Amino acid sequence: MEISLEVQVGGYTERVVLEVEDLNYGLPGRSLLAGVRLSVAAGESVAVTGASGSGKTTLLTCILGLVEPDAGSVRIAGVDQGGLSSRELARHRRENVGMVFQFGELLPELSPLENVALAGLLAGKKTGEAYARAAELLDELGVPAEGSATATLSGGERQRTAVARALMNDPALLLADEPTGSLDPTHRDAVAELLYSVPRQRDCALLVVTHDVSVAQRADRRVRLDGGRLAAGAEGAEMGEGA
Amino acid sequence: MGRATALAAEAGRVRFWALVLATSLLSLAASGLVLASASFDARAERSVARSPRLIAAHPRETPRALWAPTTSSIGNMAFDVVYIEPIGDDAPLPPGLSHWPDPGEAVLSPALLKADGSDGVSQQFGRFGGVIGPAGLEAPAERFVYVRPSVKMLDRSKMFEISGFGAEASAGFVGESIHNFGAQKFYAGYAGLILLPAALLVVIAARVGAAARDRRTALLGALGAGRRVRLAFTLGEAALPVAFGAGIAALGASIPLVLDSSYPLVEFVLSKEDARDAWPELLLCLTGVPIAVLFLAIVLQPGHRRSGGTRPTHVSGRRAWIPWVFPFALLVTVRGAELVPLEFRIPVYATGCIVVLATLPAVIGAGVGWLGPLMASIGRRVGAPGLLVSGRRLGVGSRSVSRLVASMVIAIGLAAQTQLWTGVFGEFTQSAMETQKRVGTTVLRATPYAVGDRVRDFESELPSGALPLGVRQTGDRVEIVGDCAALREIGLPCSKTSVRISASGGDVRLREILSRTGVAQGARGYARRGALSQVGAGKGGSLTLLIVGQGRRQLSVPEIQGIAGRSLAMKASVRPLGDLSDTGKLVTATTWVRLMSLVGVGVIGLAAGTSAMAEFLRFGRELAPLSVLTGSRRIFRSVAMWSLFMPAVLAAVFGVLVAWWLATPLTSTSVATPTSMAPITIGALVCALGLASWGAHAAVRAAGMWTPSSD
Repeated sequence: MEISLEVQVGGYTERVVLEVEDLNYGLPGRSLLAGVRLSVAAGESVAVTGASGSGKTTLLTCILGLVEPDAGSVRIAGVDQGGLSSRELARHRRENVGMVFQFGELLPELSPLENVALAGLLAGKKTGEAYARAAELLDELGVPAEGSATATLSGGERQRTAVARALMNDPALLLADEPTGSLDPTHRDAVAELLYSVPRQRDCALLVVTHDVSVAQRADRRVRLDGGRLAAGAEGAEMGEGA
Repeated sequence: MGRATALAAEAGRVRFWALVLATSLLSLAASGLVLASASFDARAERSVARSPRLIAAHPRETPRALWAPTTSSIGNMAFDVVYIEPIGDDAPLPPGLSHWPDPGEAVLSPALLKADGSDGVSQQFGRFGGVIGPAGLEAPAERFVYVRPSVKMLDRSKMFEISGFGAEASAGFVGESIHNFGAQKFYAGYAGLILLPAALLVVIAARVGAAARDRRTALLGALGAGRRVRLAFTLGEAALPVAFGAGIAALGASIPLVLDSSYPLVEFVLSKEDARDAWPELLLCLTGVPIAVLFLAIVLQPGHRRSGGTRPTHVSGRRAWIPWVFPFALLVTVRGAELVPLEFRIPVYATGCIVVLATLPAVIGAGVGWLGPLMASIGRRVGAPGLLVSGRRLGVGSRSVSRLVASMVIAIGLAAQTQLWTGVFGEFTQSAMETQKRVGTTVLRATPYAVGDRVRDFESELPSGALPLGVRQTGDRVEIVGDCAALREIGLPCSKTSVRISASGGDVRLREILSRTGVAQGARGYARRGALSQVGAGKGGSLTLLIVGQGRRQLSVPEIQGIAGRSLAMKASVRPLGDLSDTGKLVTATTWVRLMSLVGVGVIGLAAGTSAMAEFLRFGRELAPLSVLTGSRRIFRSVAMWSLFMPAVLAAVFGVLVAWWLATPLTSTSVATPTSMAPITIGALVCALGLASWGAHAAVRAAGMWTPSSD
């Protein structure tokens, strides 16, 4: 069941894309997420920070629907993922979620253009449309589309290709898991700037998981995952929604 | 640390179990060779111990017994019959006998007694006089009989004088190795059909998940780890599975030490005593093979190389010369074998076959590497993600695909050579089998055609319905002689004077007789009524005694053999016209080759499966993030089809064509036509489809278990 969530904030209507409520997830003898609450609106970026092993990636995995939480709900674009079959979940993810992984997770033998277009082809886009859109995205992000295999790109180029791939299907929600974790400072700044420009340009929500404070600081809001709960980031003025 | 990474690394579990399997199979294969060698050695020792010391070879020794070998058969398997007669009271006993049998008695091996069944085979040699002990037999399953002729049938002129037993020079006159698969053939077949595939499995197991380990080696090198540290890592990773595999092999190899092991299909029994004698070699083998596997794991782990840049390079440039060897090897094997002296033909041919089969995968790999970009280009144009991804992967030279192709090509080569050799053996046996199918035991041939009185005795003892005929051959004249009942039974006229007969007689038995006496091939055939005891061979002629079943009745070979042994001659032999006893050895050889190739092809199948599994686990993990986000699993199937099934189909087609061409020097008959290889082709394609499906399934599973990880 799809519900449109529109919240009145500061005099204008804000469309909530991601809404996490009371999320619990644990491993035997250890609680990773304990009543996590978080919402991200379209055009907004939120950074989740936390120490290594604090459960940041687990939170992303729950949002992606790859693991079933012990309790709580994840709602993306108004749809509660808990009630979806695996087929429906896959389709919902394809239509609404894009993700940038720490190491890009691109196919090294393919060209950047092919890597990006592949996401569109697998999502059912027509061949011409997929390649045209991929070329357009790569051009926007300043990555050479052809001429060499992805394996031969620099780390920054690979991550920008990964961003292009994540945007290929115009997702409502863009997730990024340590997107700059493997980059040097110059490339880190470039990729971070690119990522944080996406929500406003494409009217999507961005959730970045990072332990890099300088990257987190660029977000509209910062929250910190600690002891399984989200709290406002140490340096942030805004409060994260969480326990 | 290496041990800790063994299971955690990419495809670590697959490699772990592949190494366990490969080590245990190679250890067992090598142990099998050691045990077989011990068995053959022990057989040879016992063969020497029972071989006669011929006075002709040892003229200074005193004759103390008489000895004469001949053969008989059960079904199509020939076995030895040895006639013995003591000279004096202190004649030495043959090994395995506790006393000299009485005249007219036969002492049988346990296997012959067991095989005797309702045929009464033992009765044809005389009264039952006991069982030969293990010391007198080459192997527990050997069929063998000592016969002491009756006083009436004792023919000293047909026997050798001996001083005793135990002579190396005369070993090989009799023995299972003459009628069965000999040691040299066994070793050659075993090496090609079992050891080679098991070694291939070790190579493939050692390289499973190589990409991740090669990266780790490079990382260790970059961190300043020396050769010794890298070696320790590699050893640590491989030591546990290799030790586990060695333990399993030790358990398996210890079974023959406590039990007589009977090999399936081939009637070969490995005695536990022979196996125990080989325990030092066995121990050496069970420790040496695992050490060799570890050594191989180290050798196959490339060291840290300095590269020209920081970006990855693909591997296609390495060993690029191998495909060029293929056409020369093929030409030399097919045409060159004809040009060398006869004694070198088989070695040249066998070596050529190995080189051709070893280099063909590189040719297919190069072809697939060339096809890759083309596939990718087509995939991109038509928007087929599977074709695009496969094309790009194949284009950069996938080692695992090369290993898969190599496995398939070798399996096809083995299967084709097996079919070829079994076909060649089959051709030799075909004619005799067809004759036997047509006439069965309705016509028997008895030898020798003895002197008049004995033939008369033989005739008088024949059961009713068994009609004797004599065949006299002189030059190109063949005359069939007998009484009217016998002649008319096979459709011949009964006349006191010789009557010309035609080769196209109506009775199938007559046609078989005429074809085997040369009448069908142009000799002149005659028939006349006459007494067999009065027929003489004449100058330069020969006589054959036939017994025909009245009304096409099937005659009992043991019964007639018994009568012949009692009345015709000491070493009388009675066989069906289409005698299969000489073909038994070929049938046994065929069965051995089939058994060994079955094991070999099975091991190669494991190797191919392991290789495909590891490749697709890696591929599944690589593509998992994208498939999770796009919700598409179809790509796994399409990539499996294009990057596993397509090379496998190429391997099957080219493997069969090359195997067919390789077969041409050996035979020009139907066994080597491409259509005759259809079963192998279909089998290979079904295996390829199975592998691709398995690969896709493995990739889907690997993708299903994937979750993002960072930090």
